[in-house]
Amino acid sequence: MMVEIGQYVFAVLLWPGLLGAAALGFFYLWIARKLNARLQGRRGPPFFQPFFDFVKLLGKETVVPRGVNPALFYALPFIALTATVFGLVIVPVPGHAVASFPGDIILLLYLLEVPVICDVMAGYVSQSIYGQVSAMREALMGLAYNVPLLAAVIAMAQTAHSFRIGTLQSAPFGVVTGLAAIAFLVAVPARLKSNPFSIPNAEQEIVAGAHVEYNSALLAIFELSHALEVVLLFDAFFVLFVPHLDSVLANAALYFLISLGLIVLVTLAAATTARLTVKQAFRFYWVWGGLAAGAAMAAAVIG
Amino acid sequence: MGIFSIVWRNFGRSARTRHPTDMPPTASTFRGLIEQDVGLCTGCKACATVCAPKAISFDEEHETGITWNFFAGQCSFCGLCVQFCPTNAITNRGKLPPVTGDQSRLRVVHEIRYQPCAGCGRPIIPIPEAALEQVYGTKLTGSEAAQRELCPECRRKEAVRHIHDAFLARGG
Repeated sequence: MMVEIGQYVFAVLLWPGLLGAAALGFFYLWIARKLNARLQGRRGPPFFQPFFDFVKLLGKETVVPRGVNPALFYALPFIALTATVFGLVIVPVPGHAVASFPGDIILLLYLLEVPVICDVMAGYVSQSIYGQVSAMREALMGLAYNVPLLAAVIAMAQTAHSFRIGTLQSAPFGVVTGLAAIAFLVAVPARLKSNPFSIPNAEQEIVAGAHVEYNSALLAIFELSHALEVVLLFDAFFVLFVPHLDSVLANAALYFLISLGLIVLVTLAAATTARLTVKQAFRFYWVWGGLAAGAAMAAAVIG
Repeated sequence: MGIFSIVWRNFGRSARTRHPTDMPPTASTFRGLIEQDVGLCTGCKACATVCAPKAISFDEEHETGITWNFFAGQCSFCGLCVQFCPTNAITNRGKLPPVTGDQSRLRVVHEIRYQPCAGCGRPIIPIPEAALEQVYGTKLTGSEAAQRELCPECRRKEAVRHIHDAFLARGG
């Protein structure tokens, strides 16, 4: 019993939970920033910059805007962070043997969505016009990118006849996996609010988006939660679409390489494109995302 | 797809931005932080009057003298105080203010001490010798030098005595 509790605490706090994922997430964010800078001919930040940003915010004074419910204002970042951490814990990444249960992929999808909902609410409660514009955009984008994202997961579940991550992971690699992976990849930049889909957090356009009134440790928690979201999304890609290797070391190396590849892809897309309007992005996801989703679903149904 | 060749070229080249330790030298006209030589200050308050952001102020509460207070955190580096200081006590030599969150490091307090008037002993701030030398070009001697250490009241009396000696005493 004690050992089991110890394992859970370890999973939540160290790996694949808070600490390990934070280190990985900050690393990915650094790569994104550094690579983006290099592609734009800039020098880019030092290695520890995301960590420095986080620590600096922790040291700041918290200001709750007038007219905002303080309980909600304080709770939202922590809800986002907690949901993401528990999402990380239920994914069987290398070095983490988790007991898979029926329907855990649905729980994962739900937990993936919680930070988005927190962002939308943060924007709405902020009493700032920028926050509210951002909240509206974020909610709309959710309706757009979830088309290919959910279709990818449903197609995989259809092929494996299961909603268990464990079963999905050991599903045979085939046409459906490839098509579903493409549909999933199409959704990733919008889910990470990266260019050309940096619409909800459009800097220079709507200031800082939904986080415009957030400051100090609360903003730091939101930033941390975003870093963990990156890891969680890559984790989901890894367990759904990448063949499972038997050797733990090889599997860990593959996990790391796939994540690096994803962040490089996302950054490359961000560096080479300009921000779309909500309408354009929405059309993109319902046309091209819809096509990718349709292809994956069709392959799943036929196969 | 020209954008891909652009980012690829950027990736291959070295960065066009500079490292913080590799900044170009500051221009010779760069104003920077002001410095005050308390030995030249007469306490006329011209600097405090022209200072738009009120970075310079005087404090007269003390027993021993008045203080010249400068807060770099409020300074806009406009250089008006330098231009208006009649004795050139304030200069700027392009020194950068410290980058710090510690406000005490941005504050300068100089005390301009009272001296007793050579006549009546009231506390006064005499015009510094160095400042007078700057104005006259030579070192002051005799009665002029002695007058420097008098309060305005005693100086007036001295002037009246001069006039009296010059016109009345000689004639009488």
